[in-house]
Amino acid sequence: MSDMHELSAIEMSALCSNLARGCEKQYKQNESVLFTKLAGYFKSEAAPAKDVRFESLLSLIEEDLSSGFPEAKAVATDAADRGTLRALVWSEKVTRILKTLLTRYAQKGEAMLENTGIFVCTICGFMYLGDTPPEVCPVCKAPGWKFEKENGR
Amino acid sequence: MSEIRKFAVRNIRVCTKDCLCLYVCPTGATDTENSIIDVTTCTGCGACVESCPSGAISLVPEQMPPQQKKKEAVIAALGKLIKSKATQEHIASELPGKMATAIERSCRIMLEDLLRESGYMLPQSGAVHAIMESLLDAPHREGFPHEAVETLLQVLAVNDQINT
Repeated sequence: MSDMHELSAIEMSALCSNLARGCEKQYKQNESVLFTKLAGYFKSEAAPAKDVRFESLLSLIEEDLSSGFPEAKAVATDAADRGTLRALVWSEKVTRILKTLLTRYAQKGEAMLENTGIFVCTICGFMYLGDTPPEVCPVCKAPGWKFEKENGR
Repeated sequence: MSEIRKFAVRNIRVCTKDCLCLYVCPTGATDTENSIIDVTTCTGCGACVESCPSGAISLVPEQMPPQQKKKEAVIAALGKLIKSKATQEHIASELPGKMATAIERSCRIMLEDLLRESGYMLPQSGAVHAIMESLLDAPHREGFPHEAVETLLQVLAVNDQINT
């Protein structure tokens, strides 16, 4: 179990929010609340991020697309790990779309979002610009009510 | 193989309040004011599942089967992407505007999915228990919900041997 010690605060937070979801799906409401509490603790424990710019997001995304995803897909194919391949296909598509959005955002800035809402599919993370979410998520096929609107901060 | 106990759960989003589950339930477990089937009296007979015209009730096993084992190479390759997505979420969390909050959210959802596929799908798994136990021993800053971890370790029974 050496790998777990390497998990950063954000990764621990995501692990706990994932388990909160896992408990919710099993109708374990109390357990879900406790995991959510832990996720909140770890999120607040993260040290200030470095390189806080939209441009650094774009370069990380480009690296995911050029090496992270192709490498992981090759390994998952080799291991015949269907579930991992599924997760990689979804998150790679979401990442590609995110790259397109960020590239446009770098050119147009906030004007790009002036007259439109922005929605996120809570199942796969697909980001959608529009006034109402799509009927079905084009990436993971979740129904439209699984989308949530982002209001910024 | 011994029979795993199951209990009925109702999806309130699908339930059309035709209430056939009330007529067929031998113990009255389905008849509650908050629409949550009472697990303490449900016998898991499945009569409500069969009678529901909306398909709103399903039977869930009390004990989950062990999750699929993951290969080290898969965990390592996913780990690299997980690190990257966590950094993206972290950066986005400190940027202004709704594009940033949407990216923060999107990265979190992808992270959760990639972590599930790295062997942390079930809260009842040995891998999750090992992490939780290591949290109890590790130093934390003030505000660490120690009792939450202890409660979770108590109530979530391990459903597999600690592997990986």
